[in-house]
Amino acid sequence: MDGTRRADVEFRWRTTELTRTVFLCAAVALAASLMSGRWQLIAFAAPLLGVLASIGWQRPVPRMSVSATPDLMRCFEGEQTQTMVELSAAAEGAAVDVTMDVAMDVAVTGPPGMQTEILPDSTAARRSVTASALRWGRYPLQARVDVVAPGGLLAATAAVDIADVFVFPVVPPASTAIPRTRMLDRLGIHLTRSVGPGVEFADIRPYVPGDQLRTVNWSVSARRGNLHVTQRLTDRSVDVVVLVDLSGQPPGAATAATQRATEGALQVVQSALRGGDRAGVVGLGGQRPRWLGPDIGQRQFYRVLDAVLGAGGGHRTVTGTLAPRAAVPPGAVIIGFSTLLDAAFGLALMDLSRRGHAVVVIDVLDGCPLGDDLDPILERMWALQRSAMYRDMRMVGVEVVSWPDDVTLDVAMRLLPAARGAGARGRVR
Amino acid sequence: MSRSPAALLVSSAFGALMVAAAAQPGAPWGLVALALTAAAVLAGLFFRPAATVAVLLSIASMALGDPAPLFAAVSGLSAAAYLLTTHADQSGAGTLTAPTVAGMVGFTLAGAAATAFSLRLTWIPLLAPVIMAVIVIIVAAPLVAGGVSAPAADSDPPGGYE
Repeated sequence: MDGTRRADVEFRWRTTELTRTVFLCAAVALAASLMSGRWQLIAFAAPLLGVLASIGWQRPVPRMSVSATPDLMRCFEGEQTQTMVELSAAAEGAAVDVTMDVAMDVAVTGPPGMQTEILPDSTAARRSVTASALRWGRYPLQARVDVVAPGGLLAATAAVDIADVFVFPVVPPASTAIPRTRMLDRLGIHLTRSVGPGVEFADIRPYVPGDQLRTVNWSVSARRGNLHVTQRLTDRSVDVVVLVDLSGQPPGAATAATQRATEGALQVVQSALRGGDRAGVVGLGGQRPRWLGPDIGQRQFYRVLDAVLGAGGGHRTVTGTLAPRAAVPPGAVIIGFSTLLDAAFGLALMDLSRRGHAVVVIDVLDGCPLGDDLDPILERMWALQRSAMYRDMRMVGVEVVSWPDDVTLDVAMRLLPAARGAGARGRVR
Repeated sequence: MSRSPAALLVSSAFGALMVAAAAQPGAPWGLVALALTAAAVLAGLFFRPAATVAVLLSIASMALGDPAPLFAAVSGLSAAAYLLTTHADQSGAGTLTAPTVAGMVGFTLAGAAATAFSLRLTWIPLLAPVIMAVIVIIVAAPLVAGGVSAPAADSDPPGGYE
């Protein structure tokens, strides 16, 4: 994780104010000597031309490279992270001290929205930089090197990308509901109607050989005259796979909504992991579709964060537009987050539904994405179109839940339908 | 403009030398040009572009008068040193490096030698503009944007940074 990225600095040289001034004076002196016929002015201009000619004889500027350790930083919104940016130089294979004879300055800047600060314990060639951002995302850090060549006649500025800061969203703590489905035969926290080891009372039945003696309900047995045992409802766990729509969205409301898609996906993952369930993520569409298999534990949450933002190398890439079978274990619950504007994503959802998974998709698009100042009739037509699409998706087995902007995700997900399809056993109560 | 007092003293000393060598008290506008140049050198203490004006004014004063070639050479040498020391703080690195001084002094000697042998040939004025244009182009060629003359450590072509 603590990698170092080294980038060679490619300078584009330009003249300094000094060079331009000297050139101006030399040219004026030569022109004046031509026009006035005073040849002595050539002698005046000669030293100035000598200064300009000395550019080629100055000591060469060594090759420079900038390195950052670490080159990949992760933090949450509002947190600070720190990296060490070092400028090194080598001339003819030997390392040289850049600060000795070359005037230079190293500045580290991030894109808009990122605050960078150079710590006071930095030296000219070795800078400690802290970076923080208030909005999640991937922020490339750039080092800008300003150099004035020996002699002060040429100056150069170069910028190199040296590090990436991944700022993760802070996930709301509220737990989200999961759709009712047939649970895996694995202990968990989701109460089911099936009978087995558990706490919740289910039924009383006559004793049959093989029942544990501790399940015998002694008071009932004394009243009825023969042995009875207590049956209990069992708690099962579930695999949750979050499907995130990473495909490019039209500008405007749809782009703003995709931000909520990522935040919602992480909230579902966090909620599942807190309940001891296994959670994984599949990102479809976009430049780099990727997936991470379900697993348990707090570390999995950070792996999911990495996979959603495309940081690090812990995830695998997807070929095609469907969710790979390895990413979605049998019986897993699929919760998708999408604007539902991309047909390929809808196809992936239908494919998962056909494979027998319980599929719920959260529509993060709130209202019409076509613009603000639309005719009311257009907005109405858009709403009708969307509701027809919801109905069609429901017909093929994909539940669609709308997530308006002014409602938190856990509230929106309470609207998950009470029952779907056949089979009442093994469902969440 | 945060130049140290010592640097200011050195640069204005070169400026004063330039003014003194370029002075043409006998010429019609000589005293006026001298006063203006001295004022520009003084202003150059606080305002860097005034140094350029001072050099240009001393060129004008020499163009008006008829200075001795040696004085013109000394004035030019002082002007170069004046400009270099005035801009020293801006670049950070020392501007009076060994190659710079060598270039200055070498070209001064060459210029003084060229003006000392005053060959009165009739075709010289015809050729002079061309020669000067060639000199200016040769000197300026490395400075213009296309042919960036990077004093790079090896012969990698500069540029290509995106």
